[in-house]
Amino acid sequence: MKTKGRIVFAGATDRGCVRQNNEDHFVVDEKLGLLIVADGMGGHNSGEVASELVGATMLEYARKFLGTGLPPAAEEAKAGLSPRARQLDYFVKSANTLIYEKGRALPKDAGMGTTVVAALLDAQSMTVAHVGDSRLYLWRQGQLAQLTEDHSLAGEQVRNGQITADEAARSSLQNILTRALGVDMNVMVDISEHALMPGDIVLMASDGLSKMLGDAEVAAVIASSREPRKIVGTLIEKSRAAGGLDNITVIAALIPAVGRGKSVRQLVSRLFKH
Amino acid sequence: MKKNSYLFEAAIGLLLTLLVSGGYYLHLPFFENIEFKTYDLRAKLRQNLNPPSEIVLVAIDDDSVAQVGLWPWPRTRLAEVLDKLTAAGPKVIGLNIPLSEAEQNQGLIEIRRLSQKYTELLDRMKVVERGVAFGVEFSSSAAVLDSDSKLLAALRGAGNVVLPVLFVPGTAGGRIETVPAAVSSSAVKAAPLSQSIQEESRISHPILPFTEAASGLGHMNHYVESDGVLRREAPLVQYGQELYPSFAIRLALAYLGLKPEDASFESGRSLTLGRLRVPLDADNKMAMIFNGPPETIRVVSYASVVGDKVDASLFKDKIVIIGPTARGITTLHETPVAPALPSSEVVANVIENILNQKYLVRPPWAQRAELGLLGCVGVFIMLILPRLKVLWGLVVSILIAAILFGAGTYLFINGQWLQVSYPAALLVVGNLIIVSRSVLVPEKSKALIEAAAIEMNTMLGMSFQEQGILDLAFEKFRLCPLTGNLKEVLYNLALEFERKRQLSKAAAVLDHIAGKDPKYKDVVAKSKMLKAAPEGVEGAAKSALGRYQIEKELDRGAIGAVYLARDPKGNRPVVIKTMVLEEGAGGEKISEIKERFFREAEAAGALNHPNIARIFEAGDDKGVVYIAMEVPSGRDLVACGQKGHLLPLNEALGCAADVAEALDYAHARGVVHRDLKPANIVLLEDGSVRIADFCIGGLASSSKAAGVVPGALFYKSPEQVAGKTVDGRSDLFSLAVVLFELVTGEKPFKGGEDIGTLVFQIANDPHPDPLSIRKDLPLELKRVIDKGLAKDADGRFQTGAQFAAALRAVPKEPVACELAAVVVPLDVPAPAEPEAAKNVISVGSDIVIAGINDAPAASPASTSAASVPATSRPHPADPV
Repeated sequence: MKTKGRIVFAGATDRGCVRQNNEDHFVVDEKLGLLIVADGMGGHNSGEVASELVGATMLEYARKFLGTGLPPAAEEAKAGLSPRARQLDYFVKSANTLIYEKGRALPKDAGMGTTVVAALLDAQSMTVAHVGDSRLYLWRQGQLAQLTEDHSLAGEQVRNGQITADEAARSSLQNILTRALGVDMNVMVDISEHALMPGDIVLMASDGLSKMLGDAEVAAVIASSREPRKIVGTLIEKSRAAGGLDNITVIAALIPAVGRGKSVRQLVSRLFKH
Repeated sequence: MKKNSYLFEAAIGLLLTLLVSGGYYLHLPFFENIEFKTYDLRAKLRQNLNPPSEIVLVAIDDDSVAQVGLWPWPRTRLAEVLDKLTAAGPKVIGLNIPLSEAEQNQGLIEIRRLSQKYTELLDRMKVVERGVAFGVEFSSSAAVLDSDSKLLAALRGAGNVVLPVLFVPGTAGGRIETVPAAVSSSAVKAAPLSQSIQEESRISHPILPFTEAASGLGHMNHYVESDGVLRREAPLVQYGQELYPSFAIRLALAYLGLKPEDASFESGRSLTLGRLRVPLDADNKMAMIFNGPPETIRVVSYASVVGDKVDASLFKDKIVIIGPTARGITTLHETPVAPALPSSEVVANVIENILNQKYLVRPPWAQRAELGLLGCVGVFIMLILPRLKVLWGLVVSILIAAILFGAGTYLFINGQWLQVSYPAALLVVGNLIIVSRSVLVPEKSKALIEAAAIEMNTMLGMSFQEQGILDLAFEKFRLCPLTGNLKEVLYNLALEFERKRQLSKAAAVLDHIAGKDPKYKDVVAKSKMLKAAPEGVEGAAKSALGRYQIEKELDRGAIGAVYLARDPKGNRPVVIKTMVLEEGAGGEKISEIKERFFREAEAAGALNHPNIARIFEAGDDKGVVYIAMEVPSGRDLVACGQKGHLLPLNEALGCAADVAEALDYAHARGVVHRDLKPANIVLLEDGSVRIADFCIGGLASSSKAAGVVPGALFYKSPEQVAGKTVDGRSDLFSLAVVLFELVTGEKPFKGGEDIGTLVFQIANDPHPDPLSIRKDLPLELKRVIDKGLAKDADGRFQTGAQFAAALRAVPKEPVACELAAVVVPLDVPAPAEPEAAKNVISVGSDIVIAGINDAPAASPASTSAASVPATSRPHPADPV
């Protein structure tokens, strides 16, 4: 549990017990603080192609552009977002363009698409972008909160109060997405920014987890371990035990406790340009 | 980019630091003036408006001149005041009036001439004195007129009067006139002489009798700084081999009872007058501390002294300085505290400084401290300031400036002069640069946005190229300026086009490079060669599925794409739909799904009915599953479900009945359509209908790929949206929805802001009464629709045949239904309908014709794959 001021990351993906392919993909880049979970869809192998493409594209773009202040251009920028949020939005949209155009260019990949949930984080804050039904949770002091809203038919129904979250988990409509990458030339990306506190655990997962395990179970696993690698391992194991009907991907990140020297550094860093 | 900008700003910071340091070393007027200005401000803070009263000034002021007459006065006037003062017993008197020439009194000259002539005449016996002593008369008259003698007497009588000498401009290094011993006796003995002392080469001293009668001489020269302000006293001035004390020093010496030889001079350090030490700077000068504006030191007017209006005790044991202050007869000096201070006041201030040991010195560490401060500020503006946010940078800079000036002022008041304005100036200039850069940000960010657009296009182009989407890559690259790097990238793109045998595109890329740089590699020659290559080879690049040559993409969506293709067999056009097969959520294997698909496709392909579009083949080409179908030539029913474009009622019912019968035929053979909607029903030119897209909808039911919500959700049955297994009665429900739309122009379930609402309506809400939308519909038709839209499949028509029969049983309307829609019942008044006012023309209370802009939700999506935009919602608040 003692950390030395660094965020601890862990991530893993599993085919599950039923599917023959793993169409999930994840990226953990500690240097950039970039986490991505993508759940691909499409026939043949194009589900894998789409989810890998979103991971690779976003990583490539992040390496090139993060911290440069470059892109997005004004017309692309959403007003009121921090530069980091605008960049993340741009990365997701670029990935969408690529997947869409690739699907258009090659009949083999026609109709491929993917969900994506991506987070750019440091010890103080996190920017989250997502499209589709892969989720990001924040666990803080025993409470697990889902920070992303599923872009699925079942998700819509829950938000309208037509069904409960439990019913949604069992609904046959939960596979129907209202938004995904690669489906349309333009995609609306949900972007949000959150403050992080020492001891927070950020959890990202494909629907292979949320379909198999309830939020309470997930929260219990986090509370009992609080160690990212163990959390990821246990959650995948439990999802498999519950049937493992879909591919399961989990990423966990633990925000470190802040030393006194660090808080001074934080104060100083506020004076400086980013 | 950012690094470069910091480097640039650090370089600017360094340049500024060097510039200001140079100004510091070379005393450049610009920087020196800044320091002088702050010096004067600080000097004002050090004023003492109630100085100790060892000194009294007797001013020959405007009043005195008005009383006595025009200046210069006869010297008897000076003698008069000297006598008065001597009687009061001052310690020393300074007579600040140059007496370098004998007085030129025309009367005295005449008397002397007459006396001389008289004496000559007497001698030559031309005149004889008889009882009258004209000689005595002459000499007494001469004595009356001879004011110099009177002054001389007064000087002698006082015995403690100091007189001024003036050094006047002469040729530097010229021969020095030797001065009488009486003059040189006033010099301070000092050896060896310093190089850095103020030196003069011509002297103007009082005439010898006065000099001899005076108790000492002091120079009255004041040396102003480069900006014309008097700040320093020259306590000693070198003339020949002698050092002459200033008037103030000489008076102070006399006051202390000392002689010039008692003073000891240490060049660059100090001049010691007995127990008092006057610190000197490197130029052997002394900074003056001005007590305040004129008359801060006690001043009395000449007139009041002579008129006995001043208590004599005022002068007892004091230093009394007599000097002119009236306008036009004195030299006025600009000083830090007063713009015009008479020289006598300056002298008084200096004496006050010395007697009270009030000094301002450059501490020995001053220069090191100043350079250190310059260095620190330099580092700040080079390295820290550019990285601070503009506002914070300003705050920190102001703080530093405040500390600098605070320290500078504190030290100044305590007698130490630190030149803080150099680092402060550096700070200000540094900030100006930063602020001006941030003011120019709009320009900069515009450039940045352009750079961003170029970067984005380049990046996207490269990504496209990487993914083999060469056309789009070229499209993006064309938007970027052709730099050397991009030329290389484009050249490779051309090679890739060539490898794919897309020669004309390769040539186009090369031409693009050649347009900017024809000398780049072999672009021109290669382009020519490519263009000469035989045409037709490119056809190989065209994609094919199975035996079908794809001609163009008609549409694409979540479950696949729709192409127009040509079947080489029989050379007929076909529609190809590709499909994405994915493992179902229930764990169905892909091979099972494929198997099920082909089974269903086979069954659908076996359908042979005039109202069902033919399916030619279901195939699998390297993993892509597709169906080849007949291309029905006609228009689909999408438009026919919109108000204003409705089919005549009889025709609409006929269409629906035909579709119901066709469905009956298919259902009987175990084929369920699952995606029946107006877009899938084609109205042929001969008036008959064709149902298209049999067997595609079924694949979507459980896989995520089906996913992104089909626009056809409007036509789904309750059991479909609930995800249950479906049979033919589900198709009949969909047909009832289509029928509702065909006859009313509205959808029975319109949905809301999001898809969930629509799903809820289909599953739970009763459909609206069609008669409420269109009053003239036959009641029988309403019953058919009601039965068709029953939520429970058991409550509906159980077969297509039943549905068709019910439709055909609806009595035929004698009037064309399109016209019926606009019949206005005359007996009903037409009240205003505020609700409908916007989009709808209200014709009566119950018959309504929709305007052109119907709600967008009501316009059906034209394909199975259109996604419905979901609205975004605010995010949940962060957990605390």
